Amino acid sequence: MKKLVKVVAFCLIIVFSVTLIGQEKMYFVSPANSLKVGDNGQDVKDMQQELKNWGYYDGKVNGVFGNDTFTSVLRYQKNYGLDPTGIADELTLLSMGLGQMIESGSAYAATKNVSDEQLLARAINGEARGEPFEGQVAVGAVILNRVKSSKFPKTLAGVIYQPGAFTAVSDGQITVPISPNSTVVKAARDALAGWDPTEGCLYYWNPATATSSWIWSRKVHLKIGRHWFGI
Amino acid sequence: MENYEYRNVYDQNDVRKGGRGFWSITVAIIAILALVGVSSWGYYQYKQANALRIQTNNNYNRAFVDLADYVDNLEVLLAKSLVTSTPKSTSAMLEEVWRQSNLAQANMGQLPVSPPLLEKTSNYLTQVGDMAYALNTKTLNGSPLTNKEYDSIKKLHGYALSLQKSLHGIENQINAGKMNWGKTTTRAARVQSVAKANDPQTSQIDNIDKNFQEYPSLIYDGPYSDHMLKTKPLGLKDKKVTVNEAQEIARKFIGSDKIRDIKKLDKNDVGSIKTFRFKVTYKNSTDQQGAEIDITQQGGQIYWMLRNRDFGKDTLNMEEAKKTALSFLEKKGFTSMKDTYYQKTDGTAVICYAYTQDNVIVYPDLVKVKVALDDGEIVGIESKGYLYNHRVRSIPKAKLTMEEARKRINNKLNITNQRMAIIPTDFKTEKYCYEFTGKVDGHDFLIYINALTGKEEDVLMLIATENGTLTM
Repeated sequence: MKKLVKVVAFCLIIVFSVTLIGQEKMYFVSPANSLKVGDNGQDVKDMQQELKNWGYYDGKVNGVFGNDTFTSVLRYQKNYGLDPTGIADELTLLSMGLGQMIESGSAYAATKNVSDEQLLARAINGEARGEPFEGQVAVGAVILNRVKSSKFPKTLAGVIYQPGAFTAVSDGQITVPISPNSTVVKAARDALAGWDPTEGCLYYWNPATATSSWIWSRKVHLKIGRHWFGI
Repeated sequence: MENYEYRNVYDQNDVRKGGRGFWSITVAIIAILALVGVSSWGYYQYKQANALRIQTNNNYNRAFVDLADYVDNLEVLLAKSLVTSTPKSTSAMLEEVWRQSNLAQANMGQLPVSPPLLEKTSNYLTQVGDMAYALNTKTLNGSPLTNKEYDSIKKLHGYALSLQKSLHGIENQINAGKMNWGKTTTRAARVQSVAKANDPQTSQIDNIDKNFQEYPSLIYDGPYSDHMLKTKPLGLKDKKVTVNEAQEIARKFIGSDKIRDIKKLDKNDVGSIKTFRFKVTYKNSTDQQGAEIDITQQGGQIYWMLRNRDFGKDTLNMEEAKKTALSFLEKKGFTSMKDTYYQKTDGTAVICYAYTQDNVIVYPDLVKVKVALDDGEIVGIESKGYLYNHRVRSIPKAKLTMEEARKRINNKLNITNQRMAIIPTDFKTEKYCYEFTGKVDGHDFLIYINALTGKEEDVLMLIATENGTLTM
């Protein structure tokens, strides 16, 4: 009987531990280790904006850690009982609410404010990963042409997340985060900057895998890589 | 042999005789536990999937019923705007038409209907709103609608009525619990045009779009007006070039000494600017790091070029990059260009150049140049704006002086710079303006005062980042 209890307990442990797999750890870390005079970039800019919102800073939000930023950090630290060093260390940044969500230890694409560039890049990644660079820019351009067209929703998110519009959205590939150095990000930037290899096309399809038959009734404008483009 | 095997098995059983009962119980328990585990897991999954399906279906129903409601409102408002007696009250009505049609369009975009299916309906909703907005600006200034404009509204009202009818047909199905959006999502994409008749739900949605089969083209002062689709490029030269001449132009454009190979691609024969397209590979570089270049069939001008390569460490600053880009443009026949805004991203700078004529900056004639900051190579150019709009303009004489225009500006603005500019509207017309740059509360603004009417035409906010200036 004792053995039986042991076996049952063992089995239960296995069952429960299986259900626990897949739980991810989430915790906050500061975006940079510390920010000091001479630093610049988006992190500094975010900090300046926070300081400005709370009235510690009245200079320009320009992403450059200058003297006026230094003094306002100092004032902030004094007010909050932090070590008044003028260097925005991890503690200071966290107290400003500038922590970033980090999942399972690996850096994650900024979730707070998914910019158009990231959204477009993720769509291109899902739809045209294996395509030549021009093909990726072209897919980005088609999405942007849709935003401008009267026949589609009026926002980038509206177009990309339109139900049934893109397979990469339907099957969830759109949520895959991508590295900022990936070529799809470059392609997204070029498309946003106005490069349009398709000259106003609203549709594209891969003739080898296209499932919808209506697509064959579309007039083909041009072919780039494996995709055909049309209006 | 058989005998031996039998003995062997028997022996083993003999040895394990003592543990036999225990092990079979264990196996049975594991099996039962696994079965219970798997089936409860399966049931849980089923429940969850079901809940999700109901939830999404509810969302779709919500979007649809909202759409129908907004179209109802639209119909009434269009009818009302036909009988309003003063321009001011017409304006109020039209403003509401604009708002309701926007909401209708936004909700339609959430329906699980693949894009081409409701194309015409979407186009209608956009144009109703857009046109109402354009007419609203007109009536706001006190001028009444013309007979032609009344006729347009009347027609649009007729379409609203038939759209309303088809939407209510589907709404009845929803109310009767018969609408299953899940089906339409997967089927709509495949079934369209092949077996429409077999799927009543898809064909019902298809019927909505059929209302707009005979929809006329609408021309008015708005970005979605139909005349926008038929714009003629004004900046193309007369001479037609052959594909071989175009290839030579492309070769010269990039520089023969840099090219390893240049290949013809499919030409682009559709659209208002037709082009020849080439793929260029560079010496000392891989095939992937090549460029594509388009030369216009008429005029043999550069339409766009883009090279994708890895960029090294920056050696050029923005001033040097601008100089490189400008001298490049001058060499390629774009004269009197002035840089306006730029954006810097990993190793490159995209600089916008506008044409200048008689000290007036002409924003519609736009060329974008992409400069590599490691060695100053031009890795991209885009001249669509220039090719569509460029011509020598006869700039009218301003009716306001700079001082008079300045007085019309909100006095909170601290003006730092002023010049003359021609700005594009959203609907391909141009306006001759005074451009004032100024500051309010640490924010930079551009304000445009029409040099002929004194009207404030546009306000742009400048956002300076370390990578360049953006306008909003």
